[in-house]
Amino acid sequence: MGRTLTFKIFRYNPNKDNDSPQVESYQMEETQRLNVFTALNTLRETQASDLMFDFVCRAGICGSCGMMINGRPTLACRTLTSDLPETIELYPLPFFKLLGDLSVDTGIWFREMAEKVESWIHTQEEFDPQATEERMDNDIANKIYEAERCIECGCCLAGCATVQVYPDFLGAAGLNRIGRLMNDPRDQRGDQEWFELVSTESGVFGCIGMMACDDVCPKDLPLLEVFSYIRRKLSKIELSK
Amino acid sequence: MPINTELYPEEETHHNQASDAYQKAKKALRDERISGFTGVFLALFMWGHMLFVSSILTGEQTFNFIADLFEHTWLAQITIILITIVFFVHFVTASRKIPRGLRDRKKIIKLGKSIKGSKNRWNQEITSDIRLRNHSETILWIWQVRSGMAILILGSIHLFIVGTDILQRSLGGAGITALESTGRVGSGLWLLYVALLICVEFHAGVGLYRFAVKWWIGKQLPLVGKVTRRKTHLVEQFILIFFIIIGIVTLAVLAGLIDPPLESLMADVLGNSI
Amino acid sequence: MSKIITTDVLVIGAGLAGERAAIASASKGLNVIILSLVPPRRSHSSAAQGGMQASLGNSAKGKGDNPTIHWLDTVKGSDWGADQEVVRIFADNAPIAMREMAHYGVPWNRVEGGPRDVYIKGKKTTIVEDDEKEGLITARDFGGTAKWRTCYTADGTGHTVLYTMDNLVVQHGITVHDRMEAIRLIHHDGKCLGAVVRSLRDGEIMAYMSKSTVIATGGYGRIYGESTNAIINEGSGSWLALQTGVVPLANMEAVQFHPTGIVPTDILVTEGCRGDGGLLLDVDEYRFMPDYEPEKQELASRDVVSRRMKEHMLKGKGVQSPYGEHLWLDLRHLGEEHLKTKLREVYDICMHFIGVNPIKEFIPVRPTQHYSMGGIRVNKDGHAYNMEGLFALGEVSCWDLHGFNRLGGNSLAETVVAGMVVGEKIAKYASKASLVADVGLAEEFTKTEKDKIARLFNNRNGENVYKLRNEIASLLTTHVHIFRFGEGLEKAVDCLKNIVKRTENVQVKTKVLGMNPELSSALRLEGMAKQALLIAEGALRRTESRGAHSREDYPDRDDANWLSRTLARWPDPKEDPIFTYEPVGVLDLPPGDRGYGGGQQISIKETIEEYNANVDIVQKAEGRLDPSEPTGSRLPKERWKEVQ
Ligand SMILES: Cc1cc2nc3c(=O)[nH]c(=O)nc-3n(C[C@H](O)[C@H](O)[C@H](O)COP(=O)(O)OP(=O)(O)OC[C@H]3O[C@@H](n4cnc5c(N)ncnc54)[C@H](O)[C@@H]3O)c2cc1C
Ligand code: HEM
Ligand code: HEM
Ligand code: SF4
Ligand code: F3S
Ligand code: FES
Repeated sequence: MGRTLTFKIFRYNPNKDNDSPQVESYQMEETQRLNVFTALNTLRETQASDLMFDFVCRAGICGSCGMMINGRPTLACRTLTSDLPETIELYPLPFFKLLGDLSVDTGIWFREMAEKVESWIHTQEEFDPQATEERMDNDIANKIYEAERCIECGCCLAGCATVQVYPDFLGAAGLNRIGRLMNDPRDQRGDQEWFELVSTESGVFGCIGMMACDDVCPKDLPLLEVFSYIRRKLSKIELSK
Repeated sequence: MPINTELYPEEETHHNQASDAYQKAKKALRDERISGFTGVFLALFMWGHMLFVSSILTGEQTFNFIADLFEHTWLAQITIILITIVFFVHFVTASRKIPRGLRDRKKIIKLGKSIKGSKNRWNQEITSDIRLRNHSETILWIWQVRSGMAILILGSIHLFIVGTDILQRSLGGAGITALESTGRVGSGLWLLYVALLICVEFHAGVGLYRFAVKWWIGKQLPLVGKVTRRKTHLVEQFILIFFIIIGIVTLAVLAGLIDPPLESLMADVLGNSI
Repeated sequence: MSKIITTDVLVIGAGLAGERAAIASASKGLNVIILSLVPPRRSHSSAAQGGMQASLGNSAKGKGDNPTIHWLDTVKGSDWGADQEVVRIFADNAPIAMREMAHYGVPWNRVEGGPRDVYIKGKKTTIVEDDEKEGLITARDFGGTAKWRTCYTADGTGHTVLYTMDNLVVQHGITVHDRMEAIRLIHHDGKCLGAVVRSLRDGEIMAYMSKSTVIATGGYGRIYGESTNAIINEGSGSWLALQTGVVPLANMEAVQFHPTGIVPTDILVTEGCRGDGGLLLDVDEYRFMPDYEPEKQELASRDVVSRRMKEHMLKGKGVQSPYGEHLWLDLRHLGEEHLKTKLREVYDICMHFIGVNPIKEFIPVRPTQHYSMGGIRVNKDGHAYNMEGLFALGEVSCWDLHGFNRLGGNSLAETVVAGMVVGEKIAKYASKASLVADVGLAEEFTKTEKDKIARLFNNRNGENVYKLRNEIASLLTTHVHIFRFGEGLEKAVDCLKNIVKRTENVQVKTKVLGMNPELSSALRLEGMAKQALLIAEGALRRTESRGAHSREDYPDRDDANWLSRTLARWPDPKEDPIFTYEPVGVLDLPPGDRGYGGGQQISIKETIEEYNANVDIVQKAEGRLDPSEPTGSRLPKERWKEVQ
């Protein structure tokens, strides 16, 4: 305790004429149990009223607050300053469109991704309000949930060198979504449809195994396991044809 | 009340085998398989190759004996053609992932250098959630590309040299012999070989690690149990160090810096019969 | 000229309620646009963990459950403040909504046949699940219910349901404009024609014109500052309605507090902590709950525990910290294994957010604002009072399913059920209505807003936005919290009236139009101040204790005078707001004892029949539009007698 923290924050407002990117320093006394969410809000209220950043849930569940903290893409709301050195560098996530300072536009990318992978259950069956629900094994439900936990924070994309160079690549979050749907017995897409969707250079073969996604994912999703599952499955589909 | 799901009409979900999308997907899978399997094949070959070259450790006789055996049975001739082909096929397919533009390559390098603090779950006790270090796998990939390029050049030269040897033998010349090899290495080519050795072992080591992670991680295997990054990484490092040490010692023998350390052992075993 | 965008249905809010309603309209072929402050999946619905109630009756402890029992629990839980007909619609449709979400992809946890161990009131008990039910949607226990009824997906229910819903939105190709804030409704002659919208990307002010407009903007918890709510829950949706001057906000004083928000981040740690044997301690590490509630101790109902904690802190037994006073939650005795498996989420939250290891340390907690029962008053169809073409649903509305106390798991369920039921009505309305794209009107409304921004920029030596906002929060937290005293409330009302005036003189220092956080806050400030006043004044006027509204000076529930719903309007922005009252709705279950929470009741004066006869007349006089079905048509009365 009792440290004085120095925040070096990337500042740039594209909506302001003649603004150019720069890094500004702010100082602040560290308090007990301080996290970057509280710190940034305090900075905004006391020193930089125009500082732009995104928080929604501030509880690590909505995925709004991904940013580069000392070079690591992670959730600001669940990063304690006590885990960091005295100098804290904050940058917006790379890859996404910059809206201003630390705020980036993740929403558009994820919506497009959802459209590309047709991220809904494909079924021909109509919902019957009177019928009891289809049964499902609880193990399968848990397995689906494991992949469904992705909060679309974008950290995996910010950390992946491949996706920065090939923007068409669906990235870890996209592949994870596909893995989730492939595992769902309610989705009636057949082998061939999956094959065409994901056995591509923008699908799973766009991934060259940088593994940063797996390292930075704040939800600890087993991303690499999902990819290898998809690869093996594709192989099986192709061989069985 | 029910939600209309008929937005996506039949045609869109019905494809036939020959559709463009399917063919494209098949090609992508094929490319990935080829680059992966040629890489693994080359790596396995290098193990065998190392076994052969390091036979010099037990003395020139063994080396000459094996060389002669392979050339005699035409195995060497077949192998060198095969390997040359595989070598270039791997080069072509694997390098499809290397960004063409310089700017893109710079981007990857920049990111590789700047992404820090991977949490590195797989080899870290929970002392602190955040440990700042460069992200090794991204950097390893950059070096994989660089080493691959080096191999392309150095390996081609080497293939040309030994290729001519073998060709000479087929035309009635001496072929590969310990004498020739030591002569070459000793006369300065050792520089090339040290570089090639390090590049190849590094490239193959990281390549195998990546390959295992790409296709098998999370899978339950007999004996090893669940394949994890931690385990594959350990295996990779072991192989890497093991082969570099053998290779260096072998090169030292070939360059005439030290005597074959296992010669006496060999002599004991064979009872001076050769 | 400002840009004008037209559509059939304009949905403001992309949480569960808004998205489900949008889907209902889109599947009827209507053109829908959804607006949201944030990308849809970041809406606060995603933060709900516990689950949603529906009487499927599949789990062993939910056997024999049916909508009527669900109805009974909810009406009692509301302390008879709910509209009992609406509760019936809700309880009837909840199972359908759960199954529908299952059909579209929610990975609900399922029944696994055979015996399993659970903790009930801290004791390990074995229950045996029915093999026949294997694979059907299972349920867990929540407070205030007779059966285990809360459907869930691990501890991420809101997340999975919202993601599934948003996938449907994508499937239907519904346009979503995110980072767009509705700041004013466009209306004329009691008819809503759309909204003035400010882009949070580049600050552009536009008009959206629509046949029907739907407000589904969630709660207003952040007016309190300390809240478990997302920080975007600043009541900007209810403010839209209040601004019209004619649409009433109902029961704004009915605010729920959760006993265990952690300090300083106010993140919720689940009731399960205490359910599993967690203890509340004071500054002397003394366990105080048994002194207040010898019977139920830590496990009394939410409002009761919150009240006792506050009472104890007022006695000076709180722990002081830079972030204010708090108490301790002790889970250490539960052991490492239990904490890392059964209460994994709690463990993670403590470790990540406040750096406290609950295996070895106490968790700092305090009662924290959690839910707003009140909101935009609507009829059974979700149609706002006094304003044709304006609908509201979800937490922002007062459909009145929750009365003065909401049961855990009922609000998430409300969003999808209302989305289904009200969504249908919205679609029906929009199919018949015609679009009035009155350019002049749009221009007039957008101009007012632009002028307002100019004024905020031009004010000299004005008030600081953040300071004023903190003042509002601290007034509410001090005087309009769990315990309310007449004196404190009067003080709060006075101060808030003053603050409302001061909001006019706010000065925005950053003079950029784009994504200007200071300006965004400044624009919301008037609404926050005015709603804070409604909360405080509503609480001051209501001289009784009902559900979460607890007056120390009036501890009894007074059905003789207060079996009513508060309606607050603000016709003239420069004058004071107007308060009126209407009957809660047609009574079926006569007012009685909730069976928990303590307190006395003062009986209703007239007979139930007399009370009921009055409902329609008064509600209509208050501006209720006629619902599309005759009142009561879905309600087989007195069914509850069969299960009592
Ligand atoms: C921590 C926590 C846990 C909870 N757990 C449970 C639980 O277990 N069970 C349960 O039943 N309930 C729970 N609740 C309550 C429940 O989550 C909410 O009541 C419910 O999600 C509200 O949904 P909604 O669709 O009405 O609003 P929200 O999900 O809050 O969505 C509001 C939407 O409106 C948008 N918006 C707001 N203002 C504007 C504007 N001016 N212009 C444009 N868009 C706007 C926002 O961007 C957002 O998209 C919990 C609440 C909290 C705080
Ligand atoms: C001609 C020179 C070479 C070049 C340019 C080259 C390049 C590459 C590149 C860029 C990759 C990464 C591909 C990917 O991640 O998808 C790769 C992978 C690999 N390489 Fe090479 N390489 C060369 C020679 C070799 C040799 C000689 C070996 C064997 C010793 C080898 C073994 C491997 C292996 C095992 C992989 C992993 C394959 C995978 O991950 O799918 N490579 N190579
Ligand atoms: C069939 C094909 C090959 C044959 C017959 C062959 C043969 C030999 C021989 C005889 C030597 C001893 C040195 C010399 O005589 O120059 C040698 C060394 C070496 N070769 Fe090859 N080689 C083949 C392919 C390759 C390939 C494809 C590579 C990698 C790209 C490679 C890498 C090396 C290295 C690194 C050494 C040095 C070994 C050491 O460090 O001990 N070789 N090879
Ligand atoms: S996979 Fe992980 S890192 Fe990527 S978006 Fe989802 S939660 Fe974030
Ligand atoms: S970092 Fe990128 S390359 Fe693959 S393993 Fe992860 S997606
Ligand atoms: S603010 Fe929601 S994850 Fe950080």
